[in-house]
Amino acid sequence: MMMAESQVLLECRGICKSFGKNKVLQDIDFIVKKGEVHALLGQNGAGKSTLVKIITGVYSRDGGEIMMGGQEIEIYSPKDSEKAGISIIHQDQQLVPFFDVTRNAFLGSEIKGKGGKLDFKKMKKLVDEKLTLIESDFTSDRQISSLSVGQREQVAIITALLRNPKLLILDEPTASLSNREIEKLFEVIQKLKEQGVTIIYISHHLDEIFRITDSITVLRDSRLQGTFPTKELGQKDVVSLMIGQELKDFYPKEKVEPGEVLVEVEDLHSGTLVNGVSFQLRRGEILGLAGLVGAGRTETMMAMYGVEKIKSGTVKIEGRELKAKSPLEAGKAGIAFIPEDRRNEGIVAQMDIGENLSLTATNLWAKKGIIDKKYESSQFEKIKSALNIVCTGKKQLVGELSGGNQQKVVIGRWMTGDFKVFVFDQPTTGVDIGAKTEIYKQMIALAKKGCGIIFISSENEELLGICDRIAVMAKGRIVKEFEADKATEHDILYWAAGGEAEQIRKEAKEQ
Amino acid sequence: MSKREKLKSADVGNILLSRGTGICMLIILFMLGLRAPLFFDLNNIMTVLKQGSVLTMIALGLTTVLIGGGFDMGAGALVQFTCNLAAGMLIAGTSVAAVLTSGIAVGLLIGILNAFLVIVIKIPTFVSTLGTMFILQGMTSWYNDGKALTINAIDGFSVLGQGRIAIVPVIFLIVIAVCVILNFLFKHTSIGLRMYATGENAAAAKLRGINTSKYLLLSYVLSGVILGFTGVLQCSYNYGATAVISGMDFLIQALSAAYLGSTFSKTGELSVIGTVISGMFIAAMSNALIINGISNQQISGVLGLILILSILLTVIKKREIGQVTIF
Amino acid sequence: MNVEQLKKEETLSRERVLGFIARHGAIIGICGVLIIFQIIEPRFMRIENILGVLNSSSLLIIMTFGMTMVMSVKGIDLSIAQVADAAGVVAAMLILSGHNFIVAILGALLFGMIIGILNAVLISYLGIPAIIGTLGMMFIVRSVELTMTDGAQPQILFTLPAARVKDFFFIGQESVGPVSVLVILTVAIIIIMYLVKERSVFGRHMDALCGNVKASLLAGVNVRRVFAATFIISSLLAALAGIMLVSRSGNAVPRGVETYLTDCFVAVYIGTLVSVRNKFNIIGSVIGALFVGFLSNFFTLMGMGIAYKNIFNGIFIILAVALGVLKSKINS
Repeated sequence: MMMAESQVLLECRGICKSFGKNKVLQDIDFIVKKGEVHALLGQNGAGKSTLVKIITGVYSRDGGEIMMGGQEIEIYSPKDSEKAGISIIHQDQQLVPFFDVTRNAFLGSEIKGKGGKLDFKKMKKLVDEKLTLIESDFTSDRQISSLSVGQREQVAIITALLRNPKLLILDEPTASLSNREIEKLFEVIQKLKEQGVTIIYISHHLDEIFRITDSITVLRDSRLQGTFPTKELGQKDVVSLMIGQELKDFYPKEKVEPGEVLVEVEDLHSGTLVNGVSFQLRRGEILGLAGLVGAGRTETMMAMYGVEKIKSGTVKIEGRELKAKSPLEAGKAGIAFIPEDRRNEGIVAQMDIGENLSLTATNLWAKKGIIDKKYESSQFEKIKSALNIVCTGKKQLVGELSGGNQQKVVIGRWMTGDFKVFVFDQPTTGVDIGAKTEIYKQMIALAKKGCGIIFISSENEELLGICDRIAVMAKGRIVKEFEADKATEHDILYWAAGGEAEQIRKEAKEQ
Repeated sequence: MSKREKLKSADVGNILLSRGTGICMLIILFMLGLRAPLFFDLNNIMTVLKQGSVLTMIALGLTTVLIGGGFDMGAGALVQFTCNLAAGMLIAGTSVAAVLTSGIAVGLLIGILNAFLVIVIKIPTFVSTLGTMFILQGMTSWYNDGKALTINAIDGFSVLGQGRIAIVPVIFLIVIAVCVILNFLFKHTSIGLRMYATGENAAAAKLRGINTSKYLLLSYVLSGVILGFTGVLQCSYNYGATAVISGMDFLIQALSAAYLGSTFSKTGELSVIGTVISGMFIAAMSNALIINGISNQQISGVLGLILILSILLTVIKKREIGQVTIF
Repeated sequence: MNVEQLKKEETLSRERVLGFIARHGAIIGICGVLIIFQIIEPRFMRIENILGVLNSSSLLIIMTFGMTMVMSVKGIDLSIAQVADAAGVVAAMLILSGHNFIVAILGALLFGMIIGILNAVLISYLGIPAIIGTLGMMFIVRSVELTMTDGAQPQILFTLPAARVKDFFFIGQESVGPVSVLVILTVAIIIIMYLVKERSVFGRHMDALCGNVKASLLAGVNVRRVFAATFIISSLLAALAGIMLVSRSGNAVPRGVETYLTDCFVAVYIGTLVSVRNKFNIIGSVIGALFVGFLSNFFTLMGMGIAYKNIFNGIFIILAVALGVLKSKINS
């Protein structure tokens, strides 16, 4: 489709990039129009982040051209990219905790007054202007350490705005935000659009994409699948463009007869995000926990697992009440926990596979306190073949493995010893397709053995494919439970986004 | 507790914390002074200011490098060395100007050496400065042959360490001057801001295009200059150099002052003003304890207690374990 | 060959040289230094000399283990030398006041344990950074020690009647056959510490703690307890070292052990050369402590003052760690 030249802001023509023999981007033609919010979609490994890194000057391209406003530009470093008017905001933007907003915003491009002295008045004024522009609820003299994640992201945004960017790239901006903060972010994006800022929006949350973007570009396996106006696509179209195959073949689900009640949680309260959670889990069951970020799923499990304090309510494992004050105690009661953040909370990258696997029930790997090397080797072989871990051997450092294999090591940790309740928190993020299937198979194998599985995920098709029941959480409570084969993605999204409130209103009207 | 109440108690806690250390310090000194009113005598106060100056200067040098993200085990050793060097040169009849220049030059060189080891060779800051500490200690005992180097009062030199303007000790004025300059640097210039950023979150600084190596180098060099100069100052104050070669005592006192200074801020941020107040407090407290008849032996114990208690207030909310990251 | 091929060959051979240095540099370096010493001063490698060094290094070896444990979990123990100092004084004072050797030894060990527990609570349970906590504790122990000894009065034992001190001196001054009790005790401690740190469940948890605290916690490791335990072990070992020193020399001179603190660091860092991953480790620390001992011995034999010992300590510690940096660069 031909577009008027003046409408185009960023044009990438024929971009290619390889790492050794690995072709990461092949002949990418990527066009972003002025003033639009353009979504960039693709599975992990499709080439999304590489393309972005080329545009922002972190990587150099092997071939192709980049043009801004019709003129070809050379980008060899992040500074070049910034000069061209491109700014990027990452999730977990790095800020200096004890600096205030003004200092963080101007770090690296400080405004100086007479005699080289920093002109704080001027800087503060400019920051205040931008803060008012996006209607933030904090001032420029607040210390970063006192701000919430959403507010810190706003600081990152105004930091970028102060450099008057023509193109703003938002990389997974809603990943750690609460509902309210996400709504706030959308308002900010709207304001930015009114100011004429062009935005590239990278996210896995399809619901967000459909709400706020004008165009969608999909990458798959290092190639561009196409660029479309958002209005012309439906969720199913986008998903099939992204994965190129039918969803249903993916999930190796096997039905298991549920046994006796394994976990009973009643009216659990913890922190500010768990406000009265109640559910049951039976042996052989896979219970999915769906919901938006900030709904309280991980926090509920953290309370059960002894990481966070329980304010009130009970947790019963096999009929016995558990008030775990540490993961160690929860583990002794039979709970296994596979954390969300593999890199920072799951693996110890500097230790080898054998050592990582033995971290949980280390006593079982030892005789009289001394590690039994023979047992370690044999146990390693067992776990390696059960989970199909791709590695060079027991002594390989876990930090060298791929994401999927690292996840398998974290799961494998719990295969020694007698654990009955397995909590998987977003186990397939950043994991390639092959490894994903293996992780699903493992969950089902555990269910067949008589364990109970709690599966937290933000990918609803995944939950529908693997779980027996799905509980949807919103605002710290379970608002709806489904039998997995009787629910649809729409149902889940509806209840996650606060469907209950609407339902109550509906019922009230009918009375 | 409702959300509002929780917020209030956290606020109060924060304010107490940020001024708490200062208030506690004043209370301690006041109580000690009440028991022995000689403490408040103007002459005595001036003596205290004089006594605490060298310690405070070393602490300032250390604070500078700590702010930039480095560490310096050899701070005390460097001071010892330039002190000996100055004494030796003065005994040999060298001019005061040459002595001052030499002290500063040596400090500069050592700063560059430390920076080289950390930035180019990529040795962790703790080990590299431990290494230079040993080398400096060795050079010191090689230079003074195990003997003390005493000097007589020298015109134009002894005034630095022992002189007074009105009743205020010159050495204390030097401390104030250095403090004012450093404070301006750290709080009002982009160089200072970037040094803080390099020390606190180098990754963030790099993302903003800041050359963190440059600012780390600067912090070592600046620190070296200050410490080199302090050695000469110590020579003036002490009428020469003692036979002791270990700078550990200097180092641990200076570290205490710097860390105490960090408790003035809610976030445990280091600051030159905090360091100066703490350094003078340590001197004042030692003085007050002696006047009160508490022997020299207990003073270090009291200092240890104060150090631990003040840090306790800032960390107890975080509930982390106290790991260190300098190696 | 054209220019490109020549350049490639150059880089390849340079890489090969660097790789060789990284892998074998430590052994070659240490052996080389010892050989040079022997050439310069032939008395160096005589049996009596070697045994003498082994004896005098035993104190440092034991103390270095404490530091090794603590640094292996990203902690540090600045109070270690002061505790050794004070424990020796406690033991000596107990003997002087008429108690038997068992009370003296247990009393000193108990002293070490108390300091260790205090450190453990402050640092692991209350969260004070180890460098500040042990720094403060060092001051406090010094104060306690000076007060006890009325201003650093040496506690002299060797002037006492032999009957009273014979049992206590057994550790430091007697031998079983050709080997001194000191060396036997040290070897026993080496074996125990090796098992504890490199082979046990506890040691594995320590490694995990060093690598990733959050992951260890979620995997079920009792993070606070492991971290705390290293400080208790460290102070206990320091106390043991102090007892050994007093038993050997027959007197306790307050503040005499303080210089051992920096020697510990040298030993610990030289020890990292032995580990593939540049970790702090027990066997390496033994080698490091022995190296420091031999270094000191050499300069004493040569009649060269403390200046040389210090300068070479500094040079070697820098070389050792630089070699380690090279090693990890080559490995990746």
